[in-house]
Amino acid sequence: MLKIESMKARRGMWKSPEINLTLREGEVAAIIGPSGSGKTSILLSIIGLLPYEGTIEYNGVEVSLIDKKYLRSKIAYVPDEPESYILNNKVFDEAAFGPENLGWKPKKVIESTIRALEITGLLNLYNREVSTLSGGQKQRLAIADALSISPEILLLDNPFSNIDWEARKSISKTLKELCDNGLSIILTGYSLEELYLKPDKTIFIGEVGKPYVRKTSYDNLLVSEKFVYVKDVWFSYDGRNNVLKGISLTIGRKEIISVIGKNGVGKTTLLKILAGIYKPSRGTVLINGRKPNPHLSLYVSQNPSAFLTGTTPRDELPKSENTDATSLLEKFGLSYLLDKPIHTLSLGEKRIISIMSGLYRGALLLCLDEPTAGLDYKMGQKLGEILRSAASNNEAFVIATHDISFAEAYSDRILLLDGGIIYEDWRRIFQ
Amino acid sequence: MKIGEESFNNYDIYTEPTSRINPLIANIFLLILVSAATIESRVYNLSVILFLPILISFIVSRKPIQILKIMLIAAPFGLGLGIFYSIIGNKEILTALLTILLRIEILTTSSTILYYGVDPWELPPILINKFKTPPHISYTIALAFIMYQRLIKDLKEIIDSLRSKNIIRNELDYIIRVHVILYVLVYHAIRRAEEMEIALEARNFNPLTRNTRKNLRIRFWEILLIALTLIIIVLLSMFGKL
Repeated sequence: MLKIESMKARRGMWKSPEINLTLREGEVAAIIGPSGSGKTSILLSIIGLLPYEGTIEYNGVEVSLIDKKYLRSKIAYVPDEPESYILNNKVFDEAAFGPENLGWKPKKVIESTIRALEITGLLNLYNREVSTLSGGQKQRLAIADALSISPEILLLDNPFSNIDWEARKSISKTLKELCDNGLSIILTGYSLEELYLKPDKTIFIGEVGKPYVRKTSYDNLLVSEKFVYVKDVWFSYDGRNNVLKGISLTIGRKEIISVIGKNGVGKTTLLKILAGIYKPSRGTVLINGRKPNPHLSLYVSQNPSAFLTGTTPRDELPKSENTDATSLLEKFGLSYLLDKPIHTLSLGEKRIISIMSGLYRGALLLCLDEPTAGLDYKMGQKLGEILRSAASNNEAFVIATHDISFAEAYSDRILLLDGGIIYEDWRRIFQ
Repeated sequence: MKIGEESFNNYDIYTEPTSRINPLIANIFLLILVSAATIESRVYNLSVILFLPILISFIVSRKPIQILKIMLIAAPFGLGLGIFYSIIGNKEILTALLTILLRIEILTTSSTILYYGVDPWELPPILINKFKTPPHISYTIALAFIMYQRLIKDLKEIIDSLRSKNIIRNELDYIIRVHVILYVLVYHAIRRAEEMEIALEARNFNPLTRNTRKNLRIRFWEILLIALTLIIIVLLSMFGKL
């Protein structure tokens, strides 16, 4: 069905690692590699959106010779950030977008869209605003988008990178069922462990590192002083529906706390309240005895592009007597990025720069939103070690994450946010 | 729901437009208001005109507090431009401030009608069928609207980050640091444009072959709205106070 031989995707002068793959009906192939290794470029080459060297044959014909409209009606692509792919306001409109572009008759558009939404379990939400969907539901919708044109091959770019564990499980179950019905899938990821489904074929394109391991107990470093004091905090965006319902917690100096919870449960809201960006509807938040302000606490967005204001990493990273941008980035082996324009960096690279930028601005509490999204194990491990080292220098961290293995390896405590309430026993999510 | 059991008539729920106001009416409304705000310079008349988009945006968006917040955010820009206009145009300061502030607020509230009330994908079929606008131009307008909606969302995230980095500390900083906001926003726009290009190309977007299933029609209250707006503006221009 799809035969790839000695293929390298090209972006200007840059080339991806060479890959070889033969994909048959109903098979799953995984491309595993670190951030910026070229996984996305390979997928984009397969659907003719990037040039390539070597051979890609679909049913025995070179894809560069196939009519693009035909090719993209047989091979569908789902990007790593579904948010960037979604162009419509309503769920049904979004899933019907592909068939409408193909010029199908309205009845056929409706039937194929209903079928795609049924498969992905979204039909009961057909009239919902896309903005009200959770991260997992958006990922499902992006898959429904692709399925609505009845493709033979599905290309999924990092499908589990930014969604909660429940959504991961249910989406992987759906994908298995699709393969059983003859759909072939190529998916990418940072590790085999995160894929949640066993590929028939696996291609490694670079060193991704090993899963996170907790090296030591950090208890001896903790200072019992209540550095961050949160008492009975409530928050609502519209004055009616409360996102947070009486959150109370304390954080000590030198402590790293991870907050886990489903997509859309209010983790980002809690972080923004701790950073003083949002004011709680009621309740008290004190950091070192004072109300949050940028000198005390800082929020690093899950969208690093929103956080970065410098033109280059050298320009962005704070300058002081004790720190310089070069040594900071050397810790990640990224010092070659120092003078590159920020907008040309990969998501993982931008994330590291934004966290480094936040880390050395002098705030005592750092609120990191999904710090490992877009990072492979190697980068994630370095980040974890840097956070631990910063914590030992009196800083405290609150991390909102779906990456439970990172949280277990580098946090002092893990809290579960569910239904607007904080639970100390986070393992209840598995019950 | 089982596929194949319904007749096509039962699919009506999937052909209902998403827009809360017909896109064509919304654009005509915007055009009339922008023209009126540009031509009219009397403070009293501009105040009356401003009432129209506020009322319609409240009805269309069903988010009056949100609309008021947007108006508050736009106010410093209006005041800043008013001072500039007063100096450059050698106008009396209070009149210049109020004139520009009201004009900016009319533009802002009119834009919110499009932002909250119109599904951008429902605009091109009307432009193509009713005005014989070339499909490429019609869909470029729709894509511009989508980009605008996305950038508004991005702007909120950017402002939150700038506040966290202590670059924006108070309302005045929205003016003083506008270059920083615009710099980050422009790079966001470039990235969003690249993402949109992939999203469109990967899904075979082609203005010439695209087919809509929506049943787009103009309702009576929408025609009434345009008529009422025109009558008010004409009456104001004839009998309006200074």
